[in-house]
Amino acid sequence: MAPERPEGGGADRRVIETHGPRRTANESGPASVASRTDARGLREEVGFAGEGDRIFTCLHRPPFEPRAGVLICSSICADFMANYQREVELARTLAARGIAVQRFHYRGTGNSEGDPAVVTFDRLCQDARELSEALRHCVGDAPMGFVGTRWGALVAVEVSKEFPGSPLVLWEPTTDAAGYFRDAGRARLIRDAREGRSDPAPSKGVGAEFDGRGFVDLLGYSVYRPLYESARGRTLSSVMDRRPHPLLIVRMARGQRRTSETASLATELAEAGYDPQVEQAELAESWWFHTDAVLRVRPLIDRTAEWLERRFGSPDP
Amino acid sequence: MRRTVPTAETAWREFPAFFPAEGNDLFGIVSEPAESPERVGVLLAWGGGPYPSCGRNGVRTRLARSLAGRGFHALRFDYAGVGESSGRARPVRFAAPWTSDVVAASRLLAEQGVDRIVLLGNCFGGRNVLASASQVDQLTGVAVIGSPVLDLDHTEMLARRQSIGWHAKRALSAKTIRNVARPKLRRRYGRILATKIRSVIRLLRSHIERSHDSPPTSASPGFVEPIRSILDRRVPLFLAYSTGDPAWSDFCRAQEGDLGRALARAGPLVTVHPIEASVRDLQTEVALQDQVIEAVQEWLDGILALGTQRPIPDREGD
Repeated sequence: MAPERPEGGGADRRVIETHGPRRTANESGPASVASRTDARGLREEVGFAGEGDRIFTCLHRPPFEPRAGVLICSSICADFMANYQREVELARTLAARGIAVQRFHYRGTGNSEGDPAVVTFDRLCQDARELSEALRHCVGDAPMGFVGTRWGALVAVEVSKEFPGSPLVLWEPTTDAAGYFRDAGRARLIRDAREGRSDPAPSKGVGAEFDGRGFVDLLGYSVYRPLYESARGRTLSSVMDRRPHPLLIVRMARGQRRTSETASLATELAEAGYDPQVEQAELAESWWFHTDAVLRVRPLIDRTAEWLERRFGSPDP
Repeated sequence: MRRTVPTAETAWREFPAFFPAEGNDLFGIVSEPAESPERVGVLLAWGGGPYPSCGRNGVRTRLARSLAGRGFHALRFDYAGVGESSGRARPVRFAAPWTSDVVAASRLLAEQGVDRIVLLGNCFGGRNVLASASQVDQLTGVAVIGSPVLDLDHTEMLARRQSIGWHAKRALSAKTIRNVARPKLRRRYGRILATKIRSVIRLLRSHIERSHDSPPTSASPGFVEPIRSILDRRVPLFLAYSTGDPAWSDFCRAQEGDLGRALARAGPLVTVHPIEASVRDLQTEVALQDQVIEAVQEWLDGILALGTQRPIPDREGD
């Protein structure tokens, strides 16, 4: 596909290009990517990659050779939507600091191809591994790091095992997959009560609800049985590496002291050889109830970028 | 004629694109049929909010691919400052819909070899497409889903649903009093208060108007005028609402005024599709998402069967 004409001129010159063939779903071939380069030379490559069902990916490249690479593992369901713009802003901030960042939508979700009914926890991790390899090709021998939000923390931790000593940032990590679905069920009860529904969702728990359709509706998000079953029993402690990583855990809460859950997790991780830093971002996120307001998250993004930068070492003068 | 839908593996192709819009680079994904295109493009313009182009539960992705599987081109995109697009996010303001983004997206869609374009907008996206319709030359249909009839955002809509007594009780709580010190929340409370005051004034007015035998008309001009213009062009219009959405009640009330007259005059050009549900937002249940997708597909099948536009007769009594 021919490159688009460049826009603007001089200091505002930007270049947008679209390249790669148009492929049908499941057709093998090179990636189909659109890119833009802003006036600072920061380049974003967005499109589809991978064999078979293609993954929707966004690669943020600094203007020069990247000094590190970071894979951002998003959460699922409502969290994915609520946190999306923060992840975009984090990626752009890191790229401006010389760090290449890969973001993506898991197969079967978002803009990626694939059947959501076959998604499992292992497949989520497989997708993340695939993208971490792609990122490694981009950054060469430069170090790699991982960011995971909520459910994505479980994925990030799992994938980081293949990169010993890689720094890990976990935003409000889901410490227990079963607890995640329990919270979703409760959020749905709250929604039903607010709406005054005469046919509220059953209260036996998400696991009891899978019916002939094979999925459960969690406030407009389909969760299929394979994902639920494959994730049940997984906890952050159980997926943690026995080889420690520099670790920053950020709780997203307002005016609350660190909860006993986070405190015991921090203790457990310290005993396993990690050096966890636990911090609190002063923002209260209602993960299952979307609002159109964009929460002010600049301090969270800057703090995360700063922490990662320090772990990767200062840039060459 | 309803087309047989091929399997997902061969039905559609997708490719990403950045396109310019008023100094920003917007990102979109074009879904196109793998074979036998109808040469009709459907632009999916969603609501405000910092959410990606796939939509909740991938509803926009599913709709786009489903349409492509049926022979339509589809484009879903991110507004400026949202998702993969550049620029700064803008506040949702009914007085300033995001027409430049919609028009730019329609140009990208037109470049894909389509002869006709359908604009489909959800919630605030519906107001965006209504405001943009006059700037789209190959317009062949407009679909509006759950779009506010009045110029009220979600905070104000929520405020209307609760009684004054409910609001008064919350206003006097310790938490609210503490929150008044925070500028953002203070502004929000101000909007809620303004909404309730407007409701009371409207109620009093309607009592007065009823006593003078004049019908109440409460739809925003930003909703009615573009619809009249669209129907004057003999462009089919599709409107879908959840029956649990306050906007549906507003829409029904507005039938007694100019809006109702415009819709009635257009006759079969207009399809009104209420979806029985207790929720405000049709996206908050998977079954409702599927119903919307199905309803849109059926309406679009009807679009394909329509012939060329003919001029509207002179108006009477308007």
